[in-house]
Amino acid sequence: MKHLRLLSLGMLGIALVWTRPVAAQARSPKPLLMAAHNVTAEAAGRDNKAVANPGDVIRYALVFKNTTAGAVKNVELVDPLPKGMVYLVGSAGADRPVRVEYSIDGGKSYTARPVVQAVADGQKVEQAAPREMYTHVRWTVLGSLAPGAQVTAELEAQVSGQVNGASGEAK
Amino acid sequence: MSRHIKWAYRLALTAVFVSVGGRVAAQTPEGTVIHNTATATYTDLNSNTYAAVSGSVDVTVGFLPGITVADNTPSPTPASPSTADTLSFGVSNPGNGTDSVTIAENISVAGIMTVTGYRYSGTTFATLTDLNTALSSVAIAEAGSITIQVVYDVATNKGGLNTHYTLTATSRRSLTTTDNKTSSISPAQTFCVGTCGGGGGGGGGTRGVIVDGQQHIQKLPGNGYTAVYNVYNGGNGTDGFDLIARRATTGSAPIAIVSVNGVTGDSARITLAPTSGMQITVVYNVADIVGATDSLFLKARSVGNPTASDQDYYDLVVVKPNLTLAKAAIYDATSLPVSGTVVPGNILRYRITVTNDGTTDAVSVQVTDTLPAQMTYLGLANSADWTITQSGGVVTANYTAASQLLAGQSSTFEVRVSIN
Repeated sequence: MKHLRLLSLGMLGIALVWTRPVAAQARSPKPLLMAAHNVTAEAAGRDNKAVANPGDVIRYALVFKNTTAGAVKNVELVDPLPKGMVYLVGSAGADRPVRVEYSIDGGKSYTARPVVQAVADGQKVEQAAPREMYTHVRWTVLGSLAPGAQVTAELEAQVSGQVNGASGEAK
Repeated sequence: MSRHIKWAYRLALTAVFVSVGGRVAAQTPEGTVIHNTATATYTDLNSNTYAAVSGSVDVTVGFLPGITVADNTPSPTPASPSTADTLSFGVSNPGNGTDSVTIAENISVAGIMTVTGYRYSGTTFATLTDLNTALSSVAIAEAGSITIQVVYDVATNKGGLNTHYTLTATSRRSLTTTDNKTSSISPAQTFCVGTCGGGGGGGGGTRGVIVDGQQHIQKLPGNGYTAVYNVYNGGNGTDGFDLIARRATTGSAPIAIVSVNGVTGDSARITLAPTSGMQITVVYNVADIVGATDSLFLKARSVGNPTASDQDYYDLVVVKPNLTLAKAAIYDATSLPVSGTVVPGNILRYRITVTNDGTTDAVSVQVTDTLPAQMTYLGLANSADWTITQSGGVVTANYTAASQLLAGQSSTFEVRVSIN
């Protein structure tokens, strides 16, 4: 994925959370790491890239590494979009084959193409859900992940307050 | 998609239409820490489940400046002159953090308005510097606003003119963030021929049209006479005036209008600055209709407001001298009229009386009398008012008592002759 090289995981105040498995396992995997990268500040050459302004595009990177002794499967990464962030449609991806799905109902359900029903010219039609409705992004890694292997998933979101472009699509 | 999900979408739809219409999401306040926590779940190859792991990252929202100026009085039309007029500007902060502003101004055309103060929060500041000093401690919260009133006077005689007042507000935290709005100030114009409210038909003010000199005039038949009027613009702005000359009578009336203010015909148009006047000359001819009367009007009508007008006129009487001459023969010795016959050697006097029974004076009055061949010119008698010469029996008498023989006046001279 083209943006991965820009990630700076250690510089952006990453909070790490460890949990123990509820089922038996030989070794806990390395917890999920997250990083945030201010794409807008970088492009504008701003000095303080650690602070985001309304309208700035933030690229989030989620790095999951299998630190167990065996392969794992059914790996799902879920990112609830925080309040104040608006997902840039089409920006989610990963460096391995994944299925990307979205929720617009608070994580209750996911679909690859969220739609809403609307009435146009007296007819009920389905329209693509506006990006402001997106609440969660989910990456499902296809296949298994060998010991020591990792998957990096990304998405871009915009700090609320200044929306660039008419369509809201990812750049 | 399940029925449950579709219902959820429907419920969300109304909110979508409302919030997305402008495609501007709510502003995230400065200093907000956006906390993003993701989770990962997985199983091993035997489908044993494990506790989810999570990671998080924080993004701190910085300051995004924004200044918007709203013009609440975009096109005022104050009187000219007037005082303590106001322009109202709203200065709002659409940025995501508290800010303060400095105010600047620009007036496009000088001399029309004079700013006398700047009012903020009930206090009027004499200068922009004073205002900005006060505003330096005024924090405008996110989505907050303040109102600035500009107090100004309008100078006299500025009706119909226009100037633009531009107020610029600049963020003190981001000097490149600025906005401005412009009000177009157009002082209302008054259109008055003569003093507003007092001219026109009189009333104590300055008349809009008034004859320059004696109103009642006498004129000999002739061409190229001039009648002069003073036309005055009492309005507060530059105005055009249609000048229309006319006579009182029709048909065989003696006056024929030649030109108005140099323009052939009976009308012309002029432009006058506020509270200024101009002398207008109407050229006219007078026909040879002795004793006829007429009037020569000049009307001035505002172009800006054709209902505003004034006029004045000259009364004119056509005058003309009319001389009659009476000649009598009298005895030189007795001064009695000659009666019967005369004999050679008799000395007589020809008494010639010239009377002007016209309506005006006669100038260059001259009498020529060719003596009969039977008479010999001897000299003059009682001819003090005349200068008389004789040559070859032709007597020439010029009235020299005055430059003119007044209307209704008579004068007499006598020539002594003898009978051959």
